[in-house]
Amino acid sequence: MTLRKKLPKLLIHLMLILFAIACIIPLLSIISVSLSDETTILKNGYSLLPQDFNFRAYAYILYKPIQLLNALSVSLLVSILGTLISLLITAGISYVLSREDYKYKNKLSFYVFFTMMFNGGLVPTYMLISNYLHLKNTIWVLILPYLATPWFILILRTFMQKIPHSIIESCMIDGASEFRIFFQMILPLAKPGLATVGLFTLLQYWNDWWLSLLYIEKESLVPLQYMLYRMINNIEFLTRSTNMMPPGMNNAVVPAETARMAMAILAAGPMLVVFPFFQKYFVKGLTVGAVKG
Amino acid sequence: MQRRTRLIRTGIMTTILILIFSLLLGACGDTDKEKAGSSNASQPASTSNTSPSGNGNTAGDLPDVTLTWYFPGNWPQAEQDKVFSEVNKVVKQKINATIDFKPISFGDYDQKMKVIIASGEPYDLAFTSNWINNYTQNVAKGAFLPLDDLLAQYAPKSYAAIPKNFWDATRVNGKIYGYINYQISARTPEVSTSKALAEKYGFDISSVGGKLSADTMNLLEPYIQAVKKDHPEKAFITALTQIQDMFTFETISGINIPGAVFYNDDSLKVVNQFETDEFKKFAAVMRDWNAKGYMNSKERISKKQDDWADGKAGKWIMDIGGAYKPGGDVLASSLGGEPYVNAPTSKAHLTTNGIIATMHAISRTSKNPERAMMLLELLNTDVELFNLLNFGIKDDHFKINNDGYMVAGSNQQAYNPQVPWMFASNFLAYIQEGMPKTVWEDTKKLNETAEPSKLLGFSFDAEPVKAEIGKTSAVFDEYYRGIELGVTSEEKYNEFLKKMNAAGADKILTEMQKQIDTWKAAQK
Repeated sequence: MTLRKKLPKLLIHLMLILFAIACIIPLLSIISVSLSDETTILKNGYSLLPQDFNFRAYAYILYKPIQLLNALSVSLLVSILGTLISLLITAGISYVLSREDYKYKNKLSFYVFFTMMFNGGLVPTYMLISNYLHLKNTIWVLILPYLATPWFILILRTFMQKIPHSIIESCMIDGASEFRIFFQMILPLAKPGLATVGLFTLLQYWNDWWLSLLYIEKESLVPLQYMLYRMINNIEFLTRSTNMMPPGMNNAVVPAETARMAMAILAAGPMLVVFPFFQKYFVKGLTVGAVKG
Repeated sequence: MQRRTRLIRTGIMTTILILIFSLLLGACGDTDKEKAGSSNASQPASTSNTSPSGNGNTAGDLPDVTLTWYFPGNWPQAEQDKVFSEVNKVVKQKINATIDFKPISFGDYDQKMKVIIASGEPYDLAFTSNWINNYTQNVAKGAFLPLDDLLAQYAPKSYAAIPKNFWDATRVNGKIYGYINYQISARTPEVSTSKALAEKYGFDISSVGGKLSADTMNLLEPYIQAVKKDHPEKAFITALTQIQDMFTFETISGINIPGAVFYNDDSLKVVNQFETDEFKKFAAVMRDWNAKGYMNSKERISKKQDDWADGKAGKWIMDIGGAYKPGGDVLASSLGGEPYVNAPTSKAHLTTNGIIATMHAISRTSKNPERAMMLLELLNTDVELFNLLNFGIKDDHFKINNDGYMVAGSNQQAYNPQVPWMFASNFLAYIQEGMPKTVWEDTKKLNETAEPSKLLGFSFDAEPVKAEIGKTSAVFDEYYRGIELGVTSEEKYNEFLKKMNAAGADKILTEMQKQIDTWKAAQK
């Protein structure tokens, strides 16, 4: 009897444990490879413990760290500035959409929702941004396009809808202006929602390489993710098309195995640190859209 | 009852978890397929009309212009800006232009150029070829300017330096759209082996050089057998995708797509290379060698491709692949981590793909096409300027030693793009230590003595059979590793042929034949 009760639980736990392991192993092996010796890796393959422990790969990447530091600072600037502005805008529009007494609520909702389904397409977007707005090779091109993401607006709106309307009303009776209500009542109340959406936005900015691939040609504006993406993409391209390429390409120049992994650690590192700080809001925030009240 | 629902619920949970888990594992597999089909927008009518004006001007009275130049490579290099500004000093002085360098990394170049061309954004020069920023397709879209007049007027020296049949190979409907970066165009794979091994077992690689084909692979067998006996960990290495130039037929869209024409076939009949006796024979030799244990196929089959890392780890007997060129043993030695010897596999052939592999095009949107052409002429005639771009700043990124060879400078790591054929004629490059002094003369000779393909000047437009090409190439991907490792049995090979046909091989062959016939008719 007890076995029968425990068996399903055991099964689920087993699956979850496997799942957790599957998440952790790649990370561990990346760390271990980045700390291993290149030739040993080539001979023995990857392993979970560093072989011939050394920091050579990090030394290689940090040989001329200006590029990397620059990319890191671009990424940080874009992520932080982008997240702050984006949160303000997202919160603003979500709040308006959550107010029942807003006249154009449905039209505005449709406008937001519509962009979730349809967009301008790659080439028109590119033409608009580079030929008309002249945003190419500026820091703003990395920030502006993600300022208002429909999905995040919808999440936050749902969260804000749960804040009772009577709070707003009582504020009004006390003579608070709309801005005061928004900044001093709604935003503090919506903190869990803001934290969740903020984390998503932060991740979106931090992980993005697409915008920089399209619009950034100046080395000084290349963010970290794009730098990493470019490196890995190069390696992939070179191995794939060696037969087509003119002779004389030396594949040995691309950063080797260990250096790539070290690069990955450096790119993912900051987010691993940030995540736990958000976590207490995160669990709460995730359920916000689930229950409608 | 309740227990039952709980059981069901548990079951569902487990299933979902298993699904997630398997998705997770599946994600470790291939990552390749997603990228295709993005951005296929048509190009807007670009209205810039370009009138070549002001002929015969020289440096002084030219107005100051900026030329935008897109090119791929191992970018970024740490000190590229320093080198580029040095280059601009020279260019400014000589043709009063400033180059706006747009170095794009290899992986991004295709995507980037597609968007730029489709959006009609102005630029002047771009690298184009058959393997990146596709030449034929771009010409068909009308992205490039015809260069015939510009060449005659602004680049007479470099135009004359390249053989006429090379220029003919770039012609589309009778017009030249690509400026050739002259380099080795005669193609045959390279056969290479470790020098120490060859000496130990008394193998003279030049004795087989140029003689290998599907029929004569057995020339290699005594050597392989001897090495294998003492070094069971070593294997014979080759890759189908790298030896397409070894056969006596020219593949039209790469070895992985059905469609080839025999070099000696005047009627230019397109055949399916996988159904030729020659290819079947090659597959049979590999099968035989695998049976004899030369391939270490069990160990290698898990990888899609052999790479030099294994060579460095001492797992190779010999390798057939890459492209033979004089001085190539220097490269092989650096890749393999020990001295290598090399030889051409078979007789070299001159094909369209070998020639159009490295070119520059002037954009339809360019405002200064004549100045762009002058820049190309300058890059292809000014040895110092070219080498500045190619190797960086003298006595910093590279040095010339007492014997006149190029050697690495103290700061080479900061600028070493390693793409000489990308900037201009490869033959202007300083000769690297270890290469023979006559390497460029040898290469030119190889180019001239190579047997020109009868299809020279024809390039296949894959657009009409894109779907079939995708399907057949997927079939190839499924079977090629087995074929090159010799683990594919005869039945399995026939199954491969059947699948190829089911994937639309015939349709591709017909389309190729149609295009070749039209091209042939236009030649006369």
